[in-house]
Amino acid sequence: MPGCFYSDPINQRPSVTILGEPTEAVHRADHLTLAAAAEDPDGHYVRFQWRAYACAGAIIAEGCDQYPFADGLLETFDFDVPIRLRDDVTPVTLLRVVLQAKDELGATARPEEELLLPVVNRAPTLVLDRSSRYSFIKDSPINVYAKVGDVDDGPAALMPLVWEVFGPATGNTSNALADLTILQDAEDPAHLQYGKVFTANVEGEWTIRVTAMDPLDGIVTVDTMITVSPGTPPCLAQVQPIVPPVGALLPLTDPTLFQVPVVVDDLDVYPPQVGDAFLGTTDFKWYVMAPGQSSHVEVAGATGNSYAIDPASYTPGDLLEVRVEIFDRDPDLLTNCVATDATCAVNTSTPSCIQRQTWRVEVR
Amino acid sequence: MIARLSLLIVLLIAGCAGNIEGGDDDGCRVSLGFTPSMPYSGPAGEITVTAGVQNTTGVLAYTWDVTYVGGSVPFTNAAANNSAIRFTALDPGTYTVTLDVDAPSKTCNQETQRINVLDPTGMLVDVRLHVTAPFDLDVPPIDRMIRVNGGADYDLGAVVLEPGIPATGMVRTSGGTGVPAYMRISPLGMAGAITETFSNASGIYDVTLLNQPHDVLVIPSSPTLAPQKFSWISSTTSFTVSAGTAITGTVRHGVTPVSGAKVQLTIGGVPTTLGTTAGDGSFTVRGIATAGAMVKVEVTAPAASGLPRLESTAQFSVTGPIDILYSSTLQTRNIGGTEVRRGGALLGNKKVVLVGALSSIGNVTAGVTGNASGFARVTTTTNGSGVLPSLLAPAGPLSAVVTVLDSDLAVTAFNTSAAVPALIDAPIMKPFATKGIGQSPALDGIRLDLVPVDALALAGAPTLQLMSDSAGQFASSIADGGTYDAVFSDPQGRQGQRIVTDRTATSFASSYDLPPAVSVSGTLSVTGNPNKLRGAAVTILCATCSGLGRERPIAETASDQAGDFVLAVPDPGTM
Repeated sequence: MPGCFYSDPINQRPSVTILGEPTEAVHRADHLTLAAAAEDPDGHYVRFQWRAYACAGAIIAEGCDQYPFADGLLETFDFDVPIRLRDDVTPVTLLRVVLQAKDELGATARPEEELLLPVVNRAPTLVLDRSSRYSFIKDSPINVYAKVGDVDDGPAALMPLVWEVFGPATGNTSNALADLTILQDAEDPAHLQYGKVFTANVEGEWTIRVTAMDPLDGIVTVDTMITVSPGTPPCLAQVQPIVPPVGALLPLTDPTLFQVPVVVDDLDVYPPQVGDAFLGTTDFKWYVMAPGQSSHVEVAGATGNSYAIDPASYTPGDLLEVRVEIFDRDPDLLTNCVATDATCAVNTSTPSCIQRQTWRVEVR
Repeated sequence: MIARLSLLIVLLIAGCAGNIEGGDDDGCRVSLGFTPSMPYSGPAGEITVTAGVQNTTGVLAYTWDVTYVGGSVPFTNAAANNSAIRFTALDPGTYTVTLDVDAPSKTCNQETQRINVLDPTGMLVDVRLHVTAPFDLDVPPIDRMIRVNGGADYDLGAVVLEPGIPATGMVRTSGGTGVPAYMRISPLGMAGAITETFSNASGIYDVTLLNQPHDVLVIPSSPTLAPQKFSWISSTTSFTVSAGTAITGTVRHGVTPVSGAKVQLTIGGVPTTLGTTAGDGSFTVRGIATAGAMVKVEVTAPAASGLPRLESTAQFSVTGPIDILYSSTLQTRNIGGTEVRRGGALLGNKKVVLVGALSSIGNVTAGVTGNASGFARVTTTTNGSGVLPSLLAPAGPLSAVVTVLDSDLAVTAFNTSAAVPALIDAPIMKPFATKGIGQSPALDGIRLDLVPVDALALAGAPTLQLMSDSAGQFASSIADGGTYDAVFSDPQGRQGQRIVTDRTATSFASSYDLPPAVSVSGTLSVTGNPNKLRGAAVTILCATCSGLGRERPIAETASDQAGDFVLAVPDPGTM
């Protein structure tokens, strides 16, 4: 008689695999997503148990925290790579991710799945900017700003920034930078801002190089190039009274104030601008060519923006010329003009910007 | 009929649709008004500000802010729905009220109202606000009276220039020939807003003017055509100039004809042509006779005559001969041989100007007789030995202005009333020191203009400009014997301008208080131009002065990128 032999089916262990291993270097504070792939020969439902440990070892799981910094029970496992171990001091250099799986009958996958991920330090971030109220001209202050951050260590952990200046051969690079105190952005605590006042002693191409380094020797270097110009000559923007056209004479019937109400310049303007100590004032020189004179004679002491002429000082019918010339702090000699030129522009490429004006006057 | 009605309905609907889609017209608009319209400071200085909100419905939320000199000012609600507030302006100055309105489904503009609060004890001073736009903008200038209130800053708000209209035309003769001329054009009621131009060789002028009547003074280049005053309106296309009336007369010194004298008349503010007397003293000038006008007669005798310049103003008739008489008692003296020294050393080859104001030197008769005054201005140069050459000068209390070097002047009395002095002793420049002080500890970088008066002015000496050191101190040397008006000003606007008249090197005080300043501010724009007016010259000028004093700025600045300007003018003070 054939006997019947019954035995319960033997439950087999599930097998499990970690998917989604990063193909690029993992940095501290990165966000990772891993997935579990399970296979159970019996077709049972498989439960997962994820654990992620922060370690300070090299490529083996030594020096890991005793407790995981993240765990999970789902098929996918999301976590942020910690910055430091639980001691809050030691930087994380390795991740150990452990995945355990059990089927619904409690069979545990063996061996448990383990993933070791080296963690590297992320370099600081650095952005430079610059601005100038004075059109980036030599001997004028140019503000250079550095905005630094460090995703893993935080901006406060960064070493002091290293500022370097590279300039033209005759440029004074050693004294070109001075500290500039600037306010921090309260709405952006992840970054700190620093500033320097850059002053170029010669025109040309200058480069400001800033290097930021974090405590783990992560380095970033950024350059900003500044083209420093020599500055523009001042321009006579308004004069009074009207300048007679060529061939005409301005009749002078009453005491008249020859004036330059407005001079446009990058640094030395008129009228003086209040509230900016760096801006200066235009220098004026006045000349008169009186009847009988063959050249324009500078009027000693007349250094303001106006010069008065009373026709009573002359004989009716006299012809004279009144001339003004303007100069900024870097005075250009009006060498490209001869004395008989009624107007003069230092920069011939901008002929409308003149530094000399002459009125031909007839005393009436 | 039905078809026409349908068309009308369609047109009306289309019109409505146009309004609904009218863009900005549909936006929520906020405006502010306040009472009283001219508030005064003090415990009773209560101001109510009321909001007006258009193009929105529903319950609105109002957020108010009132500031004064950078600080917040408390206020209370003055309306149940918070659409009005009330605050007390304890101090004079400019208060800024800002309102934000939250409206359902609408974005409302933020509205700001600057309210000038006056000091009830403030003195009032009228000044002129003169604005000249950058020349490339081709906008006529303005010259408006404004009132500065003592003790309070004043915000003018929007100062709007009109773009003007092109005024082109021709200056010509009656025969149609174009005439080159100088033209000075001023709008009626705003005489200081002068626009100048020249007509070209063909007589064509092209200028931009306010669209209102103007006075136009045309001074032809040709000496044969008389200057003339015209009226201009927008339809004016030409000005016809003429030779005018021949105005004749004679110039005599006692009974002796004066030949070679330059004669010019100014009739009702319009000059004539320039005439030169013939050997018999006769002259002819050409001008426009205007009945009843004040006529100024000016005669400049030839230098060799030694006669002073003669001036007389009265309601002279120019339709008949004009008799110009230097008094027979007016004597001239030969100054040749006078030595010019400094410290005993003869000054060779130095310019010497003998000047002096002289009264009652003659008279002018033309219908009426007017007394004539004048001044002497004799320019000469010492020879190599420091001696004046032979030259006539009027007898009288003159002064000698000696130019030792370009910046080294000396003034000394040279009284020729009885005889010619044998010596002009030119004193060395005299040092002086003074200081400008104000409310701040040290007024660094203030400016001192030394405007020559009396002898120096007659000699044509220039205004000297000095800048102070960091303590407001000035130290320099000026012509000994010379007199100046001292004009202290602070380019940084911390203090107001102060003018101290008739200063000599020895009469400067050790310091001068510069008056407190009040600010006059505003924002420049041009009608129809959304851009603010930047780079315009903005000056505060004297309203009651004459001559150069009317042209010298009390305060000056240029409008900034936003069209804003701030001027510091002397505080008129309080009672």
